[in-house]
Order: sequence, then structure tokens, then C-alpha cells
Amino acid sequence: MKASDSPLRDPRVSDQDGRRLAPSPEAIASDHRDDAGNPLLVLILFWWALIAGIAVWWFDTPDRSITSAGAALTAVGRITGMIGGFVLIIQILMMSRVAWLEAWIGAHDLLRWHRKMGAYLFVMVIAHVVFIIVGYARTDRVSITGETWSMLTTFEDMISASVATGILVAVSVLAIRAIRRRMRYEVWHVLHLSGYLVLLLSYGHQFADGADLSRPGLAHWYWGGLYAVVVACLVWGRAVEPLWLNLRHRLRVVEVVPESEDMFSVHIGGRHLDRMDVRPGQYLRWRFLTVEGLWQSHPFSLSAAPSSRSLRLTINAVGGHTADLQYLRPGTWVIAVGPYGTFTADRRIQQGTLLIAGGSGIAPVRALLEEMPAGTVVIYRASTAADLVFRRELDSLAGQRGLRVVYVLGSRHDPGPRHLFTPDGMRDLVPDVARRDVYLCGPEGLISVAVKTLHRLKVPRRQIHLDPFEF
Amino acid sequence: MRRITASVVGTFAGTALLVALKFGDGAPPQVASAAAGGVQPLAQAGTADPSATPVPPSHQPIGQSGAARPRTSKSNRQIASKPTSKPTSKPIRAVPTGTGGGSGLKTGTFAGAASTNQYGTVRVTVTVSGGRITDLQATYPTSPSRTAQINARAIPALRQEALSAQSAQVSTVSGASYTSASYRASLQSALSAAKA
Repeated sequence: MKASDSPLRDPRVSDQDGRRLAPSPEAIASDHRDDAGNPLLVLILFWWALIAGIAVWWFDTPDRSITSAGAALTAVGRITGMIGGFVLIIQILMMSRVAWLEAWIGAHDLLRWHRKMGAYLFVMVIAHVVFIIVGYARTDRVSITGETWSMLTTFEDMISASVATGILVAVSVLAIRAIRRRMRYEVWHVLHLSGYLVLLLSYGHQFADGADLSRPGLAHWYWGGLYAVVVACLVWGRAVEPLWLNLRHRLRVVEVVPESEDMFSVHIGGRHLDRMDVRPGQYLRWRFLTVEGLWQSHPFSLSAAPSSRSLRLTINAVGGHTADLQYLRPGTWVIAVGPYGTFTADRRIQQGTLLIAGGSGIAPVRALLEEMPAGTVVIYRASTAADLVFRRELDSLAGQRGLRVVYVLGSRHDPGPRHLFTPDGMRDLVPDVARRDVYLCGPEGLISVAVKTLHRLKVPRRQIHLDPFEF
Repeated sequence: MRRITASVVGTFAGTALLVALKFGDGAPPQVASAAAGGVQPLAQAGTADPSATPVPPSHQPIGQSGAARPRTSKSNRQIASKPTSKPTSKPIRAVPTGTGGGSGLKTGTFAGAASTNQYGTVRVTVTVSGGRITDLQATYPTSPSRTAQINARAIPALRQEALSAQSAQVSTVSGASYTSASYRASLQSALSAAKA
């Protein structure tokens, strides 16, 4: 379940230095079996909650009562509306950052589902609007514009519902990948947060105008309960947990250390860090309280197993903000939210492991190494030797823990790197790759080539663990 | 993209199936007359028996009688009483016994039994003068908005038809079968009270 009952929390497995020791592979395997059912549970609950939502319509509609095209269109509009309303609150729930969802599903999959269901939600809401208007207009024998006008002017909360639809359309359009990529992430994110307004503004019309929900009864309480649960998760995940974490740990920058030309590490200290529930491979969202940094929160992985004295992040100076972070002064206050991510050793299902890292992806992989068993292979991809970071740490960990670190240097068009990411090349380097868990973190190009190769080598999908976040 | 298409197509297919399962030749709308409320002559010049006239058997609660609980009147609205046509016959207010014409209706105002359907409760009050129905008022559900919209169209149409038919034989307004059935039931019981 949560890491609280995992071997990591066992006080016996930390040394005098306060640095936590890796759990044994057996402990990891049994730990994972506890976790495996949780995504399934969430999935089953999702479907039953949706079925119960639509059943409200089913039991409210007498048999054989739909006799005309208008009534049929209206019924489709009602069902799509209920699906839309349900998916909307699930969309919000998935982004609530509430700990149990993050631990059971993982931020990566939550984000993936959120993206896919976003397009679906858009279609359902548009269908709801169209079918309801056309269905009502046919029943009332008036024009579609007349019906629309009548609904806007006489229906309770219909103006706000229309505004909600407009916002949803705007948010959906902005979420199209080609458009999203053209915007600064911070701007896009603030605009995307207006999705909360959709929830707020559409809530009223569901309960005032929804034929099945406006009457007192179980349906009313059921849907109200769904809202209450989601809002509670949202408040918990977005406000209570972050507040608690930061009040308890009072994080501050200790020092900034350059690692290579582009990369640097930020060491962060605070109170009671030994009680912080964070594992190697996880990330937090960090907000550095400087004038410019105050408004920006970025996810960075830990690049070392957390110790009782400090946390280390390693950052690639790519954007304007991340480049500024190398001038952080010691003592700067930091607000962290998290930890998130299932890019952790407890997700292993095989005895052997292969880690593939490129660019700043080395940070979580470096941290993960401290929990990986002997025989683990690390492939570290970089253009030049000067781009490699943590070389000394990696080599010393390799010696201590019996790992193999392979540095693959050169352009992606060079024969060496190209050969490696073919089935033959990969098998040459790691003959038993299909019986290993593979953790990948790095630039998108590298990951997609590597994943393709792994698929061709018949590495089962559940043995492939992707980078903890993508932004 | 293919996943999106698949999930949308799948949803619409499933929705169409659900709707098809509820499709039919139109089960008669279930309306129930509230026997408890009874039929109360409000103000009458005649000698009608103040005790309730039995609701005609055809309007007895169908199915479970628990559904016959009238809604709270908060969401019910009284339609404005404005006679759209003046009675063509001479005012017969002077008739002391209250019966006039050949209709057997006594002069006075008679409230029908409340008739409840799944959207709410309709209650028709009929004003009889000189043996003719001169006015009809109704309380009816106005919540949620779609019910209000339908009733805002249906109730005046039903009223108009009843005024010209001078009976409870009013046809169903399209898209408002429940309201029409309840209106008929309540009007019928009001007219029964007026005849007693």
C-alpha cells in the first residue's frame, strides 16, 4: 500500500549516517504484490460509479415511455450529460494530487488518462448540449434557435452552464498538443486551471435542471456525494497535504553545486527530513521563494536517496526559470509539494533491472540506483563525456553494489549509439533484458526509440517503467 | 486518436441501446389522484355536498399509491386567472339554486383532486357560472426548468381546450403527456364535485 508499511520505513534499515538502506529484493517483490490490485480497484470503482450514475436515468424513465424522436434525442442528451458530468469530476479528481491516487495509479498514468479523457469529455458535453436542444425543440415544435433562446432565458443556471461549456471548449482547444507546445508552460497551466471553473459553473444546472437530480432522493444524494468526495480530495491534495508538509519540514536551500556545464544540484535542508515520506525515483514540485520564482512551481526528481540532513535535486538549466535557479542563495525558502511518482524500486516485478537514462533523466536514475540489486545494468546516454554528471558517484556505487554502468557517448547518428538501440544491440549488452524491469528517463527521442526496441524484444509492458513526469 | 474515436463510438452505441430499451408504444402515463386531499368545493353558491366526491375509478392510483403524495406547493404555480372569452350566455348569477343550463353543473368554484405524476402534482380548480365552465385555474410543477417550460406551454393549451370543450375531454398536448393526464384527472374530479 503506502510506503508507510514498506521496508523503507523500518528504522532498522538505515545506517548511522541516517541514509536509508535499500530493502532486499524479496521485500520489494512482496511489497509490489500488495500494490498490484489497487489500480484494478480504482478501475472497478470507476465503472460502477458511472453505471450507478446512469442507472438514475434508467430507473426514472418508465418502460416504453420514449415514443417520439424528440423524446429519444432528449434521452441521449440526458445520458451524455450524465456521462459528461461524471467524467468532469473524475478529471478533477485525477488532478487532485491526493496521495492515495498518486500512490495507486501514479502521476504519469493519471496525467495520461487525464489527457485522453479530456477529449472524450469535450465530445460528451458537446453531444449533451446538441441532443438536449434538438430533442427539446422537436418535442416543443419550435426552431432550434427559439429553443436555445428559451432555455437560456428561462432555465435556472443555464447562463453559467453555457459559460462553463465555453470555458471547457477553450481549455480543450488549448490542450491540443500543437497549440499547447507553442505556449509558455506557466501561461498554459494557469489557463488550464480554469477547468475548475467548469466544475463550479456547471454544478448548478445539473441540480437545478437535471430531471433526475433536482428531486430529493437517492439520486440527488448520490451525485451530491460524488461532488463532495472529489472536492474533499481536491482540498486535501492541493491544500492540506502541502501545508502540512511545509509546516513540518520548513525547507530551505543549503547550497547549489555545479555538476556539468548545464547541470547543477540544489541541496535542500529542513527539519525532520528523516520523517519525510519520499523514496528515490520520486519527484516533488518545487517553488523557490525568490521574486521570480514565487509564481512558478516545477517538478524535479531527487537525485540521491533522501538522508536525514538533506535532499538533493539535480536540474538541467534549459528554460529561463531553471537557468536562474543556479543562482539561488543559501537560505532561500522552498515550498515543496509531493512527493509524487511511481518511478520507484517497489514497482519492480522481476529480479533483474535495467536503467536507461539520458540528459537530466540521470537524476532519478542516480537516486534509484541506491535501491537496485546487484547485477543491475545502467545505460547512460550523453553526447559527450563533458555532459556526463555523477560519474564518480556512479562508478563508486557500481563498485559497492555490484552494478554495471555503461556510458554511451556520441551523436544519435553515430554507429555505436545507433546499434545499441536496436534489438540486436540491446541483446548484446543485456542478454536477459526480457526478464528485467526497465526504468527509462530522459529526452523524448531517446525514450521512444528505447521503448520501441524493448517492445520488439518482447519486454512485457508492465516491466517498463517510464519517467516520473513529462513536461 | 483512434482510442478517442473508439470510446466515443462505443458510448453512442451503448446510449442508443439504452434508449432503444426504453422505446415503445407509449405506456400510459402513471398519474395518481390524491384521495387524501379530496375534492373541496372552495366557494360555492350552490348546495353541493361539501364532503368529497369520489374520484372516478379510472383515476384511481395506478401502481403503488405511495407515489400519490402531492408535492410541496413551493414549486407549484397558480396560473393567472383571466377568462379569455366572456361567457356567451347571460350571467346567471341570480339563479338561486345554482344549477343552470342543461349541464348539471352548479355555480361555484370547485377544486379537483390533486393528481400526481412523476414530474409533480397538478390540481385544477374550475369556476362554474350558469352551468358553464367560465374559468379554469391550475397549480402545476415549475421545477426543474424543463418541467416549467413544458407546463408553461401545456397548461394554457389544456385550459383553452377545456373551456371550449366544456368538459374534461381534452386531448394530450404533445410532449406533455403526464401533465395532460393529470390535468384531465383533476379536472374530471372537479367537474364531478360541481355536479354533485
